[in-house]
Amino acid sequence: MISFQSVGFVFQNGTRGLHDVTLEIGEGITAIIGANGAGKTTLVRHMNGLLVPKLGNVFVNGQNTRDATVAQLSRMVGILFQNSERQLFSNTVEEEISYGLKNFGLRDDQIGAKVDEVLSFFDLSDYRGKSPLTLSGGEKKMLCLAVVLAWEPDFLVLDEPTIGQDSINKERIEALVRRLASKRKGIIIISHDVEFLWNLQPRVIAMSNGSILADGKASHIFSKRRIIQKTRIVRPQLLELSTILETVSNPFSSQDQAVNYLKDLMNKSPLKTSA
Amino acid sequence: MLGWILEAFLFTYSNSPLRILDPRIRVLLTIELFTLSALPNVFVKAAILLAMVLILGMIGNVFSKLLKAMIFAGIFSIIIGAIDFYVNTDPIRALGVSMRFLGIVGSLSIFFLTTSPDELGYVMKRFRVHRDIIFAFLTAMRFVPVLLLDISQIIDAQRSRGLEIQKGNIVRRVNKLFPLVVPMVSLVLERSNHLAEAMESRAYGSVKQVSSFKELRFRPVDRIFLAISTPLMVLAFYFVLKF
Ligand SMILES: Nc1ncnc2c1ncn2[C@@H]1O[C@H](COP(=O)(O)OP(=O)(O)OP(=O)(O)O)[C@@H](O)[C@H]1O
Ligand SMILES: [Mg+2]
Repeated sequence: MISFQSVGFVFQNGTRGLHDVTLEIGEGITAIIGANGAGKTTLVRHMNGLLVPKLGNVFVNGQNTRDATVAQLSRMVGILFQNSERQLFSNTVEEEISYGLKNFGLRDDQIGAKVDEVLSFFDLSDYRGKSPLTLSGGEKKMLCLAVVLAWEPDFLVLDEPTIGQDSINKERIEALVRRLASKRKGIIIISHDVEFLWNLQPRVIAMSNGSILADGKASHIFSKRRIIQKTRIVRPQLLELSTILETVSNPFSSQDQAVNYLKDLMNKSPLKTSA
Repeated sequence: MLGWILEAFLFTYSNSPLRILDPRIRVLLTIELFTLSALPNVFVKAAILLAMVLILGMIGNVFSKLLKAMIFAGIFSIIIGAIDFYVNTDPIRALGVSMRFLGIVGSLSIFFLTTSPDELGYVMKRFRVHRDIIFAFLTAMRFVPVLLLDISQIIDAQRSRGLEIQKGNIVRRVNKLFPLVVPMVSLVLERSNHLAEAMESRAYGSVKQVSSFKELRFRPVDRIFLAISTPLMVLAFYFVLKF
């Protein structure tokens, strides 16, 4: 459990980062949405102690982040940073992945097995001995994700995971998130990609100006005009379709569902018999 | 730590009364204070000059940042003073040497805190420094904060992957910084490559004579300041050199 208790944060230059944030995040999928500059990244940087609140407290699995090091907290909360491409620092892809595992004290054979596993999952095995800096933008991001996943933290924070990813990689991320959720991990996704979020039907936390604007089920949050405006998102297409077809009380959560509904509708339609 | 050094020497767009003045005057003032601070070894003079620097910092509304620079420089200043004391065994003189160093660092710090890279560029241009040299100089200056930010990002990334910075004695902590060298060098190379590409894509170097968006001009306030400060500085030089 990650819990924020009346957390306030102000940057050195006086910019307000967070204002009176209280929330609890447990296992399962949680999405954080909000306009640019709303404070999403600032919020998650509190989760592994990179930022420490000016007011209030943050607890990770009961541990106050003030009393723990970033390293200790990162064992529990792994973060894929928004600008993760800038944060690769090893000579080879393999070293990049094993760096954290060594720090967390895994045995050599465990490290070897883990490196193999994540490299093949993300289709990066060919790059094993190459410099991370020579990877493409999307590959760098996938590598960063592999890096964090390798030590299996209880919570995985993904700051804009789908930006710049092709459809295969997006599906990979989606499958990964579902798998982790089924393993009772907590996955926190920051994203402006509503279609991606809608597929996952997560709990959604909407932020604005460093505060929590709303918190609830995806179908609920994405239906509110005021939240849509304040977080500057476009409503998911399936939700839009549900509104048009007046099924919004139980909106389509997958394309298949919508297609089946439409097929049914066509079969019942009087137009079909007359045509 | 990095944040500290950043704050102590890097210009931020704030309202410092010193910024009303033409940047050329700020350059002059800094050179004057710098030279003055560098001259005397005598305790009293060094103390007076240090006080002048501090007062200027107060007028310039950069006092708290200046203090940070001083505290940072203080570590070196103590070392310098200690060496001088070891050589000359004169505590008052050693104290003077320490203060002189603080004065030098202080006057430089005030200059950089109140002068933006752009203003520095205008000054250099006024003195007919070649455009490519100005550009190289300013880029180097602008690179400092960028690089410090890069370093702190990589340190953050390493901490987020289990690096314990807080643990161990000073030697072990410094040792932990070595793995930063390789990524820093490659990042600098990557960055400068990107910069060169971006510059060329925006047609840098395509014409001999470039037009200018802004020119420096002396205003009444500058003349008044010069009229008052020049005699004072002459007096100060006279005092420092004569007595
Ligand atoms: N290091 C910093 N120093 C000062 N202000 C900062 C710093 N980092 C972020 N801010 C400011 O804090 C606010 C919140 O920033 P944050 O990065 O958390 O936004 P975000 O919700 O992640 O936005 P985006 O969707 O663009 O990633 C912004 O107004 C930003 O300008
Ligand atoms: Mg962000």
